[in-house]
Amino acid sequence: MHIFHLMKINFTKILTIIVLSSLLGLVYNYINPSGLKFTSNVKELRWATDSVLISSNKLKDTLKLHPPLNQLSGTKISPDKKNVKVDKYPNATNTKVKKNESEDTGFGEPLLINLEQAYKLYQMDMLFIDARDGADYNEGHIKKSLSLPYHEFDNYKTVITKIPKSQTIIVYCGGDDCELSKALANRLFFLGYHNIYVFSGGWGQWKSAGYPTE
Amino acid sequence: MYFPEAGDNGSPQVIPRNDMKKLISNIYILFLMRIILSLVFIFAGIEKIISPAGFSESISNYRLLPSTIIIFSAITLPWVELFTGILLLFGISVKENAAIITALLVVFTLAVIISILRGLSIDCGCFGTALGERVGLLKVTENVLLILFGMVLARTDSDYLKL
Repeated sequence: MHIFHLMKINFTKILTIIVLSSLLGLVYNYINPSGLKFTSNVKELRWATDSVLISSNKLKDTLKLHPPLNQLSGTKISPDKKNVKVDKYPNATNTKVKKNESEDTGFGEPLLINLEQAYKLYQMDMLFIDARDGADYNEGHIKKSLSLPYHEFDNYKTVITKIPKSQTIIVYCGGDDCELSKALANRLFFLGYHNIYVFSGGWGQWKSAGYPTE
Repeated sequence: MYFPEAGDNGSPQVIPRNDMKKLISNIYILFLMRIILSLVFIFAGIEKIISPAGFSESISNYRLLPSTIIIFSAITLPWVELFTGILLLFGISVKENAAIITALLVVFTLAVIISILRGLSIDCGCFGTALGERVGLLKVTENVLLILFGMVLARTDSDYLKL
């Protein structure tokens, strides 16, 4: 207060400006259809048990039924096509995928998985999606993972639609306390991708474990 | 060399001894600082208002605040920025608005410095998601310069071309 007095700054004016503009912001947010809600938009997720992860034949089934990932054309989401397995699913057809979609109800919500579980899915050649910004992805990412920055989700919508709904997807971001992967998983889940896991440890844990990166 | 001072109507005044003091008392320099600071804040405010969700994500990436405060900040902060920017542009309550802007910049800069020290490589969210600027020393330098502008304006005022 003393410094304000010395500098001849009116503290009441400062308070008025802050309160009025904040109120304006609150009112605008209230009437704005895409305004923010005070409850977190990232819901808490449950952990996947190993039995869900491993014993489920669904994984193997969906694996067989997936079309080649190189059909996910659109260069933005496929930064390194060389590493995408192309001829692993030669018999995949759209009809089969469609059939699988109708049968597949998924887990009911995205599930969290730990490092071991993530690695098992990696060995099964599941689709890993990196939710971080492009710059972070370029610095390093899980081998064969695709970049889908959560902040640019809308730019990728046309490409996302090329991923079959039955695809098992593992989403990750920086590490334990980053929300991007959960937020992205929820958005993908909302779009109908129901076989979706969130690798909680993310890039940090994967890298520390010395698992394949690029 | 004679530098007209703030509030100077052409009448001769005592010329400050220190050259730097003379420079920052120059009405045109002060006006330039005012315009730069106000335009930066107006632009930052508008970008954040357009994309509140993106801005709240940017704040959450700093991993410093609980979610309720993040949401509240994402809703109100852009409007404070816009409001103070507009008032500053038109020379209304320059000292007060410059003080608010300086305080905000100090907080933003501390957040950026903490992120650098924690090794976070995140989008700074300074202009919403518009420019995609990363946290880094360049950002700190920019902010320090703007803080200096804000401090000078809060101390000296700038009534050139005011409404």
